[in-house]
Amino acid sequence: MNDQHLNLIQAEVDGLNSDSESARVRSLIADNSELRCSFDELNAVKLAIESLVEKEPPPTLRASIMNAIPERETERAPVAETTSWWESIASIVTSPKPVSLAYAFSLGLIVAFVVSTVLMPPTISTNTDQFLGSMGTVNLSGFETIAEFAIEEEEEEDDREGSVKVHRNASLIVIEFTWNSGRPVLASITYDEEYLGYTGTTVAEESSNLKTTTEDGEVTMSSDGPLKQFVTLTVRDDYEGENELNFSVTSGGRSLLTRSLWVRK
Amino acid sequence: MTSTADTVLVTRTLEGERNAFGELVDRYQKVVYNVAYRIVGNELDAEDVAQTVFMKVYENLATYNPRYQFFSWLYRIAVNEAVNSKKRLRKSVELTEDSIRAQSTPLEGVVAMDVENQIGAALMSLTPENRAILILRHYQEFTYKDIGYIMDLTEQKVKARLYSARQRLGKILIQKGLNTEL
Repeated sequence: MNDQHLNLIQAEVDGLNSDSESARVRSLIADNSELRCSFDELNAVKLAIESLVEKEPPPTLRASIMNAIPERETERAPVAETTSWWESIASIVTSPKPVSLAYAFSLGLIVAFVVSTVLMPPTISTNTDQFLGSMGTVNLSGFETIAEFAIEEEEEEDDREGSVKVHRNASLIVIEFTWNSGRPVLASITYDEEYLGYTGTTVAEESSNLKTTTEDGEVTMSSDGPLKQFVTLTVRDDYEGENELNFSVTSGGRSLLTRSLWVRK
Repeated sequence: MTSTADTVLVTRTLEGERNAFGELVDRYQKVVYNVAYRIVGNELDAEDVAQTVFMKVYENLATYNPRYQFFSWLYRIAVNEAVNSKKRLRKSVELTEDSIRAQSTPLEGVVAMDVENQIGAALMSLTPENRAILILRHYQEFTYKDIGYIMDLTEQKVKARLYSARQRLGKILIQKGLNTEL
C-alpha cells in the first residue's frame, strides 16, 4: 500500500476519480485485503458523518446577533462600482453646479491621494484589526515591541536581509516578518498550542508565490521574493508561566535565523 | 425569484443597511451554527461561537475580498473561531461510554438515535482540527481546494490530514462496533 494507492482510494470515496481510476481502485481492492479494509473504513466514516442530523439554531440567535452589532458608518465596499471613471467625470460636468463642485473637490482629493501614493514613499495605514489571512496591515497601537531579530547576510550579488519583530498586548502576540530580498525565503514560527492559539495572518504587501500554512503549533510562510506579513497569536486565558516561541528563517537551503523567545503572560 | 447575491448584501451592509446584514444572517446562521456545534460539541457553546462569528464578519466586512466566495470566507472565520474556542475551553471531550449513556434519554433507546449520538461522541474524541476537516468535507461537501482556503492548508496537506482524520474516526467507529451499523 503506497501513497498513490491511498490517494486513489480517498478520491474514490470522495467521488473524484475518473472511470479508469475507479476501475483501477476496484481492481486494487479486489487483490489486496489491506486496501479493501482501508476503503471500507473510509466509506464507513463518510456514511457516519453524512448520517448526522442537521440541527436548527436557537430561534433567538438571529435577534442576539442583530442586537449585538453596532450601527455602521458607510465604508468602502469591496465590490467594484458599476460606473466607469469616465462616466463619473462626465457626470461632474453635467451635474448642477454645487454638486459639480463637490465632486470636483472629491476628485481633487483622489488625484492627490494617487499622486502621494505613487510618487511618495509608501506608508502603511493602520486602520484594520482583522487577522483573517487577507491583504492589509495590523493596527499595532497599544502593542509593545518585545523583540526584534535582524536577518542579515551579505552575498556577492544579493544581500539577504529582513527582520522578525514581535509585538504584544495583553491578549495578542503579533509577529511581523519582513523579507527584503528577491530570493526565495521560508520562515517558520512554532509555539505551544496549549497556551497560544493561531488567529490568522495579514499580508501587508503583495508577494510572489506567497504561501502560508498552519499546522500543529507551527506557522510557515514562504515566498519567492520580498514579503511583509503579520501572524497573530492569541494568548489563551489560562496561559501559565513562560513559554517558548521559536523562529527560523532559511533561504536557498541556508539557515539565516534560529531564535527563541520566552513569553510570559 | 432569485435571491440577492451575497456580494450585493455585503455592499449594502457596508453602506449602512442593517437589514442587508440581517439577510446574510438568515442565509447562513444555520450552517454556521451546525459547523460550530459539530466542532465544539454542545448547543450553548455553538450559539456563542455563531454569534461571535457574525460579529467578526460584521466588523471585518470591509476587508472581505470578493475574489473568494462569501460563504468560504464566512466558513473560514467560523472554523477558526470554533476550533480556537474549543481549545480555549480545553475541557475534556473524551466522551466515555458512560457519558454517552448519560446523554441518552429513554426515547433514545431507539437504535437510530443511539447511533447518531455515538457517532457524534466519536467525532468529539478527535482534535478540533480533524473534526473541522471531516465536517467540511462530508457534511458541507467542500472541495479540497476550498477546505485549503478555509483552514489555511495546502491541498496536499488537506488530503493528508483528511485521510488521517478518517482513519482515526474509522478506528473509533470499529471499536464501538458502529461500522457495521452503517
